[in-house]
Amino acid sequence: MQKPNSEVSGVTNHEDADSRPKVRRIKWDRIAPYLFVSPFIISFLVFSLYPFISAVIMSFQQVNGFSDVKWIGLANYQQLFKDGDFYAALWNVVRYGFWTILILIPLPMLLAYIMNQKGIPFKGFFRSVYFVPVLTSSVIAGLIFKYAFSGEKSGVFNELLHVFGAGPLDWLNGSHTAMFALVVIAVWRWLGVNMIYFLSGLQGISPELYESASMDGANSFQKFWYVTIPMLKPITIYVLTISIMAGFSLFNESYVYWGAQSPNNVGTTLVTLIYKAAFSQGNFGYSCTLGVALFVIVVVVNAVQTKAMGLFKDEA
Amino acid sequence: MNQFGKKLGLAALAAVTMLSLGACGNNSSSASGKSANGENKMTMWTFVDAQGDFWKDAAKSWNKTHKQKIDLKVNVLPFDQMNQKLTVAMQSGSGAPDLADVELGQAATQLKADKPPYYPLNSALKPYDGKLVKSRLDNFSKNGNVYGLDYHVGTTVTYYNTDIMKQAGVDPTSIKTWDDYVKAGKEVKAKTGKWMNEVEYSAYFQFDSMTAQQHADYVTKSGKADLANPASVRALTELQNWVYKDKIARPAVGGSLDNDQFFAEMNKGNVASVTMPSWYMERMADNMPKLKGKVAIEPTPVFKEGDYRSAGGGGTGTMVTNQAKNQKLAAQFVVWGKASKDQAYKIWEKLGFDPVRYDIWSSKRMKADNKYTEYFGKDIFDTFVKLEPDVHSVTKTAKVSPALQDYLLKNTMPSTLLHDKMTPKAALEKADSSLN
Amino acid sequence: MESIKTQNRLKTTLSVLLMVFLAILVMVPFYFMIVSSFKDVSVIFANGINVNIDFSKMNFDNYKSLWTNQNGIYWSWYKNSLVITVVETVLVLVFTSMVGYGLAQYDFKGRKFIFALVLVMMMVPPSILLLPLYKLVTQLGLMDSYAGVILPYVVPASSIFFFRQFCMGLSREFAESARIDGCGEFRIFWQIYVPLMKPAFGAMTILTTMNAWNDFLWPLVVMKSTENFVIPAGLMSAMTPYGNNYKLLFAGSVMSIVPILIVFVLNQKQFIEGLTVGGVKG
Repeated sequence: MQKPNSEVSGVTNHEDADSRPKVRRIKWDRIAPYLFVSPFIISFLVFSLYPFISAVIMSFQQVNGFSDVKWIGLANYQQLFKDGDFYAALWNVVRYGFWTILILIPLPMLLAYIMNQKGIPFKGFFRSVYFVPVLTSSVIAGLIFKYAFSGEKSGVFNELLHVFGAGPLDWLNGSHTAMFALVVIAVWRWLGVNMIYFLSGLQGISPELYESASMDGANSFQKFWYVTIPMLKPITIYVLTISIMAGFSLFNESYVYWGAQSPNNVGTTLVTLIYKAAFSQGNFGYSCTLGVALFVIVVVVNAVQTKAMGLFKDEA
Repeated sequence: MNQFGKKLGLAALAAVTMLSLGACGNNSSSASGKSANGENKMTMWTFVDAQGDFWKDAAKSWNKTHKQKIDLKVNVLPFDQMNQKLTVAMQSGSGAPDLADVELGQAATQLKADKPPYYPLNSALKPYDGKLVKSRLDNFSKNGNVYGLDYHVGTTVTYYNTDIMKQAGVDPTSIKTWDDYVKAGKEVKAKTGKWMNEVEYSAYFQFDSMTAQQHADYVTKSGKADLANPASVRALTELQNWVYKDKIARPAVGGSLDNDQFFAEMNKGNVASVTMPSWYMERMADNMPKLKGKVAIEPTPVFKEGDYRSAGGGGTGTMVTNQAKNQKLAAQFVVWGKASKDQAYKIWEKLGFDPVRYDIWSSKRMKADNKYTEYFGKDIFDTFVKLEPDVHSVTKTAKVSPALQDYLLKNTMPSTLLHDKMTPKAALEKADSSLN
Repeated sequence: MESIKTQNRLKTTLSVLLMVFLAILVMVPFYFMIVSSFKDVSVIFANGINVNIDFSKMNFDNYKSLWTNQNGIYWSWYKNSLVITVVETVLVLVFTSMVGYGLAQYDFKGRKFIFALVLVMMMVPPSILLLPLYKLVTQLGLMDSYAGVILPYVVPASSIFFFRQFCMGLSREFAESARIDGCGEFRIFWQIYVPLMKPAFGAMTILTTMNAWNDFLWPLVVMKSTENFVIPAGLMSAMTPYGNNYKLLFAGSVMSIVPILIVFVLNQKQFIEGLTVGGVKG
């Protein structure tokens, strides 16, 4: 799949390189790799590990200012387990993940399949058009959609409903419609990106597979079902992973729609809660507790998913 | 071939240079407390453009009459963002401005520590003893220290769109009780098809004032939440009935009566009345140009004889943070900026607020032409003076207040007013039980 | 034979129709954004965004306000976004290409561990560290500065992963023969491998630019003064009922898309090809 258009020929693959006798002449090239990876090490220590440790510490504290802290044991965690907002946010993230995955895997896959057919005109053009939304900031997209989802009769979506003789709906205040409003932005922004992922996956499938399928008398649908989909598994897993993660980091769209607080938590996400606890309420300790909880959830979800799907089996 | 590598290297060098320049450039502005010509630099955060302008003007006036000059820089941020930035800056001990406008609903959060990180205004307030409405000072007090000085008293009144009322054949002055109001609302709805009111669910000015009107409070003396007190239940029931029983109102566009969407709605003449504090005059004058000369200001209807005909609603205290470079000067400036006679007049003339400095309310200057008298007529303060004894508020700065307000906005108001999911009594009882 | 041809033509037509339909759906929000930028914003607040077009009421006021509103504060935001994006992108490219190269081209003790760390970092949403990072940046005295916005994110794991995957496909032979010629390790990287990694740089340029240009939460938290905001945070801050900055919203949104669109158009071929190289390795 990777074809760096190197001007120098001889792109060997890694396994060959590994089996070659290692040239180690001076000490310098033993230190060199560490120098190369040092930016990551430094950044990791300073901007990830240290803050993470301080988050864990603060999650056991009541923080009234960084210099005025009190150890309170597990009180923050007890609060977490009782916190209805936390469960509401978790439920929102699960629903969001469910809908985005349900739409953002099959639809782009189908689109990629269509675009990959012979004889489709203006492929490059369409590809770019589908891609443009993701270049738009989610805040700006949110602004546009916020006013399109106006509860007034004259908002775009209500006008649309009116054509079908329904509505008007108070979109951003109802639980299901609010979720719809969040998912719409996700679909709009990520359709093109996911399509490109699948497109590249399709181009990696050898035509011979289709030919032999044709010889066995498979029709287009059967070819799609029995050849294309299985061959796209690695990419599907990748897209699935980033979709799940996107749900866990969801913040911007929710913040544009509702600010830090949505009525009846219709749009509350885990990150909104982290933000709100720290910045609206000044509850630093609890904000860190939420952060640690989110970390644990993400690690567990990933572990389960990796185990289930064998992602990165060949890596690391 | 190594062209690309070189270019990248150069770019990286340039990037690092820019980064360090950017960092220095930004830091130097906050490093020293004084500007080149010896003026005291101060920054102020507020969430209303007009209030920012007010303070810029105040600094100019101050510099004309005072030795210690002030170079004021005002940062106007949206309400949420400003409070969020302030909260985190105050708690983390750096990055806060010298002065900050803190809205009453946020005051409890800002003052929650045993020793609030703000500078007390007590000594600066001394010269104005007895000239300011005391209840407005209490709002921003803790342990005997006053930490903020409000712009206004926030006398709550009912604003009627006289065009709609005329069309419906109802005289606003005849509306004395909320029962009258509902009856009038039905007339309005029947004859004009317009809403009598819209009901807030992401704010609680009306709920607060209706509670305070009945001489009640939803925080007990011992600091417990008592939302399910009879007066509050009655207030919330009234609001719910407007929407779901009497059908004279709908849940407010944008969730509150103080947002751009509702302003537009009101300006279009789709709503006959609102009950809001005095500062709503400024919102109307600035955002509802079509209603100029068509708004009548009346005392708020009551539930029963003997209730207060008004309430104190909202409020914003200007506070001096403990991160201010010259805290004493800042405190003097804040108090002078709001309590000195000339400045108090300006609070009315520029902001359209009823100033906390009460002794000027009946003076002639309050009737002079300005954009508010042009909009509402000249006798606004005649009404306000009469209502002043009726101005009382619910507690906003108890320890439980931030959680209580959060709960109201998050659960109680949406499930009783936005949706008809719960009875007010059940919703308020549920709030109490989860807060206490 | 004839029927298969017709069938194919039908299939192609249906496919194109579907593609056109989706393309229109995708473009609709931009249509509204642009139309709204010529409308009176108070009308949009009152009625929501809608399809009504009344040319007599449309004008360039909103665009003019980009210059007039608060002395053109919009362009301060623009400048901040530009500086942050350019600096961040360059630093990200330099650092992560180094790390990716190091991880792919050398065998050394701890390599697997470090790569595992990279993978873990890719999974973890950065927002969980919102508050402790805020604390750190405060302690470093970088609040309200470009450095505070940029520094925590100059070595993103996803970009390392990308470069590493790409470099795995490059032969180690060049390095070895260069070493025999007495070439230093960094010269090997700069002069031999960086040019070979050009397609990867193309893809990462767009991706990093896009992320930096559109980043919202972290700059929102770090920047205190309104004139130090980046565009998304600035436009959000214009949405206050107590100001008069609404005019900036839609015109500002339109203008904010321009630079990123330019970067995309210039690099798009490399980008779309490169996007999958590192990210999705079966």
